[in-house]
Amino acid sequence: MCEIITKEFLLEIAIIFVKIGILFGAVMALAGILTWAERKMSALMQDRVGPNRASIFGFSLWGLFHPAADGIKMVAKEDFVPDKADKVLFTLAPMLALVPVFVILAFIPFGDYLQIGNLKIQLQISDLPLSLFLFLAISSLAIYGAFLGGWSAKNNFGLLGAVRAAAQMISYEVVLGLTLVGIILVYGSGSIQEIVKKQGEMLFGFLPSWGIVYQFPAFILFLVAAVAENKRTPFDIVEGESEIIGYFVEYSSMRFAMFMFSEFAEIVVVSMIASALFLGGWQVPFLNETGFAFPGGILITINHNIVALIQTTAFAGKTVFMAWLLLLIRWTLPRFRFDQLMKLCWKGLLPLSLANIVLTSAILQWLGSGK
Amino acid sequence: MPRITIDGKIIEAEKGETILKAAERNGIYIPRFCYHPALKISGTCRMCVVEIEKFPKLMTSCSTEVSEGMVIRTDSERVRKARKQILEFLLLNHPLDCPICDQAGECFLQNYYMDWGLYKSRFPLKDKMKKRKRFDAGKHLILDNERCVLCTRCVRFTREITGTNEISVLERGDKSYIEVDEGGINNPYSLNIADICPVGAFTSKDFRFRQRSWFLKRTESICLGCATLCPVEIHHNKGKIYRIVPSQKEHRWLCDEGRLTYHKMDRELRTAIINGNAADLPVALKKGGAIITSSLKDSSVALAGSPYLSIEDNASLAFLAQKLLEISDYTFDFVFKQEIEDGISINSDKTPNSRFLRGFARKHGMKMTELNSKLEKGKFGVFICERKTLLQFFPRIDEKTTVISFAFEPPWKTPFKNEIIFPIPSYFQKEGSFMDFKGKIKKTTPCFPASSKNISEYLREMVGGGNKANKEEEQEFITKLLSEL
Amino acid sequence: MKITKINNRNLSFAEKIYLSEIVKGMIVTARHFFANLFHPSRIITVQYPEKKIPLSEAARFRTRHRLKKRKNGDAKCVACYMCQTACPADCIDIEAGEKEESIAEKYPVKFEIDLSRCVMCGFCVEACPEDAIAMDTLIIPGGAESRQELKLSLESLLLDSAETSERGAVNRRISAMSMQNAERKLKNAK
Repeated sequence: MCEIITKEFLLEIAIIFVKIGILFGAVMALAGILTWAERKMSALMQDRVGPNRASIFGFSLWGLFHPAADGIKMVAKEDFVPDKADKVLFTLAPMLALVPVFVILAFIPFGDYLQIGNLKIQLQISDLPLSLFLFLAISSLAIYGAFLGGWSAKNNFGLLGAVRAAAQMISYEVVLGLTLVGIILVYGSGSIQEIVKKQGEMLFGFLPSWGIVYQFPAFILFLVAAVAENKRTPFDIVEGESEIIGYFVEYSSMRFAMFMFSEFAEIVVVSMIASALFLGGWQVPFLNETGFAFPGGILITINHNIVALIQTTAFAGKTVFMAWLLLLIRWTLPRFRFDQLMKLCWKGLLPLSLANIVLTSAILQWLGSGK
Repeated sequence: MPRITIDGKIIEAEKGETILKAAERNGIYIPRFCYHPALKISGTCRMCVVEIEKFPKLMTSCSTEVSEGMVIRTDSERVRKARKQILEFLLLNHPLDCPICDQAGECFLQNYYMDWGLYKSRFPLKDKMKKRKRFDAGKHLILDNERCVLCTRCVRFTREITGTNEISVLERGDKSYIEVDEGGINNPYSLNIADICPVGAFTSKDFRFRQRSWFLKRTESICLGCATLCPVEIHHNKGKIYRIVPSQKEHRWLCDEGRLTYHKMDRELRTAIINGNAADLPVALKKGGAIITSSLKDSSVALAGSPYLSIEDNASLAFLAQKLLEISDYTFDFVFKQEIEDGISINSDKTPNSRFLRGFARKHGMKMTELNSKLEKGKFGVFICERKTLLQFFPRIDEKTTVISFAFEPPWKTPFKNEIIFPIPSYFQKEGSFMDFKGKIKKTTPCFPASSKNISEYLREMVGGGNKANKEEEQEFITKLLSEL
Repeated sequence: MKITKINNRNLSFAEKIYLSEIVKGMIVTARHFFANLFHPSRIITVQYPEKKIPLSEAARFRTRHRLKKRKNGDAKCVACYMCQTACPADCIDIEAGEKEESIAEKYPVKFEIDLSRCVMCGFCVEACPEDAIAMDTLIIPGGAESRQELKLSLESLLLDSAETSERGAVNRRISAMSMQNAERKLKNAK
């Protein structure tokens, strides 16, 4: 008895570790490529060539080795700690910025399930009933990274940057949370996997019932709030890399790299969340557990595991698209002034997201009563 | 007192004064080549011509004495035209040497051409009179006859000032040229000729091609070559001295030897020296300190001032001997015969500050003879002195005595068995007061910052007396002394 | 002082909420992105150190300096320091020496141009009374791995002067032309 439980238990643990490994590796790889993609994309958008110098044995592969070169440079640089800095917090801050991003990965469903013999493997690390709320809770922890980073260095510019960061992130946190309320109302669940599953249905027989269809305003608001949470242009007054200096002035070497990397990892995570909530997650239109079922009665039966793989690929594709969109936004828009930024949040986005909730509730109520 | 009018300005001139001097006194500049305030009037160049009412011709202002009611115009159309023509005559055979001529930048011809000339040359290049170029005219001088405008300043200088008559004008018309006697100009004031030459004919071998005049920064100071302490202007640029010329404010004929004293800046001592070998300063300080402290115990430390050091440095030496070392075996008694023998500038006393020490020694320290006899007995462990002065004690100093000296230049071969030398700044690098042979106090002005420490700083570091002789007291002592002089 | 007030166009509602404008902007950047992604040859960037666009011979711009030579191979320069005086970047360092057998008794023992300070203004060429320095080598000074490499010595400055060249006087000719033009204009004005 005890033996059987232990065996199953161990297998489950092993599977979870494999899932963590795959997802973690995917995000790390994507974030690493994003550092290159950002430079290459911005170059192409501005009619430039972009990074193309780093090469191994004469192969430069469109500059793909630049992230590696950057990594080596970051490791080789002097790890500088200011004399007056709070050593513990100074070391802790970059970790605090990076860790929450990876924790969020646990709630992201990247597929339905795999069926191997009797074993049913959920393609999600942890399916919690209220994972959406956990996502909000954990993502707000990232503020500590930014704020402690600026404060512990005992640099006035860093502190000002940290205060800006805290103000901005807390403000947009609110909007981010409120936009998700609409999604929860529509799909009636707090579990991301549940929400994704419900997006597999068809509206009027041809329109996928994705979040973006039901909650288009919320999607826009979510995108804006997510970019602001990410501290990226047009909301990068917090860092203002080239002009006003941000919270990580005193950081160098790998500590700085961790801050930078957390930013890129955040892009990936935000893209995943956005595609899960608004773009149907791993859902592919007309594809259900057994195969494609097009309107008009055409059926194509496919093995379930292959369906799951197609779905996972679709999810990856959606994530990449969202990441591309975020980069496009970053290289298109100029930066907001800090007062404009706060005004936009409290006077623009917040009322709009509240209105969205009221409107969604009203429509749902009306539809419900009409039923 | 004749009243005259120059350019509409009414001027009280002195009787027997020339127009040029009266004008200059009132801020009106009249161009000149041959006129020099310290030489006799010759009136050869005609550059200083002015228009005087009721005079039919233009007159040379350098030789015309003022008389009551003269009305003079120095800037009328006629005068300008005359100046332009004179310049054209002077420049007829002048070579196009400005790029390679040391006088460029302070050349009268250049300046006047820009002020009064500015004509287009009408004289073909091939017709220019060729003369002897670039030849040795003495120990310090090079002469270029093509550049000469025959103002005869140099001729008059050797006749009137030095009385050596080495230079004369030969031939006539455009063939005339300056001739130097066989053997060249070798009087001790020869470099003054390069100064007074208004063009680039006479140039200094020492300064030749080393720097263009417009780069030079000028610092008023005094020459420390002898007890006359002539006022000079030091020309330097980027931490390097290029030449020393007589001061603009108070003119004196400066001797060649004094002009070349700046060469010691090229040999500046930068490290300490222990027994003839270069050593690090901290090492030397430690060694010197140990010897002084051990000798102080049996009170066998002697110290001497120096006539080569300034009043401040001598005073601080005396102060430190009394308060820091607390010794009685020190002297400031240096006496030299002081006299300008040739009647121009050169003093027989080659030390700059012995006149001051003559008075100072009466109040401070023992007689020189006393110290000498003690030295001969060889009872001292340490003898502290400035390096140049030290050599006069040389035969009297015992072999066992350690000599601690301070020098600006690297030393001549050391005659002493045990010697530590510390580098000190020269008076080109720091301020110092000196008393000339007439008893007048004069001050040097630093051209650039010092690269080494002062004597008093070394002594304090070596002895480490702490509170025994504090710096404020020393400063007070020096200020009091200077105010009494 | 006259104050001109510019009335900005009033924004329409669609413009005020940014969204449509943002989308328009993103369409522009996306268009560039895809155009350049699929036709990379359209990007006009030149891969500089490997590829260089040949300079036109008639080019009037100033390139790396050189010192001209006399027929006997000596430098034309007489170390008059005029270029050093005119140089606004203080990048020329000359030391003069005396030569007995030369026609001009003065010659440069050291003539150093620090390209890392040079601003390529051409004042040295303008100032030279001997027409000894020129900026017509058509070599555009680039980067170097040490400061010392950017210091041109007398030898390297003379190296490019195998044959005497007319191009060196181009600056001077231009300035003469502009002077003539200015004089003509003055005359016409009178």
